Amino acid sequence: MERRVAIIACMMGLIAQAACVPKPTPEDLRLTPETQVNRQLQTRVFETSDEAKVLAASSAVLQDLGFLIDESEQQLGLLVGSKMRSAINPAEVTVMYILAIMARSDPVYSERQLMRICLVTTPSMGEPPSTSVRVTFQRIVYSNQGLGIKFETLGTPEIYEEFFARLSKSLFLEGKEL
Amino acid sequence: MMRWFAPLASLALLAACTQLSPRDIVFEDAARQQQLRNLQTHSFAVTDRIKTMRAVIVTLQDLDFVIDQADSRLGFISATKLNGYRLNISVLVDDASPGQMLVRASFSAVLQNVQDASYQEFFASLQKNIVQ
Amino acid sequence: MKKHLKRISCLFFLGTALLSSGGCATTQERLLDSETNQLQLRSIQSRAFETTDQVKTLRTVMLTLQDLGFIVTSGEAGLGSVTGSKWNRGLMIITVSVRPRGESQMLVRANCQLDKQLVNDPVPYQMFFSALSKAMFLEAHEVE
Repeated sequence: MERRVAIIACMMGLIAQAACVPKPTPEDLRLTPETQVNRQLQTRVFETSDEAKVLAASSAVLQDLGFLIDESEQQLGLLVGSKMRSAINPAEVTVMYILAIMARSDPVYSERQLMRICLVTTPSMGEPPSTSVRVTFQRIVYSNQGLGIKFETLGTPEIYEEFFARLSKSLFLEGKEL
Repeated sequence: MMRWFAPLASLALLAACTQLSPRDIVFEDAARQQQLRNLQTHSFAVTDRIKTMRAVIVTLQDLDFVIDQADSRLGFISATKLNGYRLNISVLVDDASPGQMLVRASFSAVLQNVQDASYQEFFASLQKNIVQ
Repeated sequence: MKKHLKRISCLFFLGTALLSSGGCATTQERLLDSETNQLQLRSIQSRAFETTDQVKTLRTVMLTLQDLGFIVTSGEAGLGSVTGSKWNRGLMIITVSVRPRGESQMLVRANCQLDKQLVNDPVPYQMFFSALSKAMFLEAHEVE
């Protein structure tokens, strides 16, 4: 009897967490001091005025990283890519299966994730002529039942560092910080 | 037995009758549409359409959006922000009026309402990134 | 008790049958449903405009869709196509293509579906082209 109560409480806790869906608010469309910090993390400046060359090299890096190019617009310096990868976490699957068996229902766990990258080049006005590259990442995690269960923006200093290291190699140019 | 038939049948018919009509959907609530149009449109005293589109993209990246699609000839940009929720934005940049760049944005989120104030915030952010 | 349940389930199935038969379709809608052929559909969905500017026409289409409360979800100048969607107790998706027609015209074709079903009622298309015509300052010519 006590065990059943504990299990139900557990599942309700998980459901409550899922039910607390964050809502978009007007403040989410506001620029904050944090925006400037993020912009610096996400951007590197390359000493070349050849925006097309930078875009081409970026496209190659994206493809090296396994991304499919979804959108490319030369006039806007835009490249968008995505890739679908596994999101299976063995620990999570185990826990969910145990809970499901005890509650006699179907387990729900993270199965796949769609990762998206957005790369934007901007010609710089200053001397010497340069092109800046900015990348942002996001992902959607899908459950084994095919539903989107997680929607989030990704990006840590390490991710940006590694990405720009590859781009620098591809361009034979060093990427400087903003 | 017959007691139940009439109300159930009429309920069923009523349900069938309130089916959506395409005509209603295309043209509904003109007053609200006008109000939305005003909220969603902002004009900037700039003349370069591509530059304006790039400013929109910079702003969207600042606000943690990932661009979905953009077409420079059409002046169209669409993007998505994932932050627990999924928020979509669709932007049109139109240079038809001389000396004025019209930017029109519409937000949409699955099963969520986007508050009107979001448009003001977005255009305030965009203004910061627009240079003549 | 069993008899009672049987009656209720009978009524339930009757109600469902009524619901799914689309009991409120007008005679005109039923007529078009069964007799819509490709030519008829094409003439309902298409109009020609006296202009050779494909990009400007596409842009006006996008603005008109936004005016009608649609959200433009995709637009490709290369393909000459724009898509918009609108949610109001059902998902309505409209795809508009703009192609050159002859020497001096653009052919605009709108394809509308509501909840994954083709809309073959001519009136919503008339309303769309009326709004587009106003925005373009050009007359919308019917196409045979």
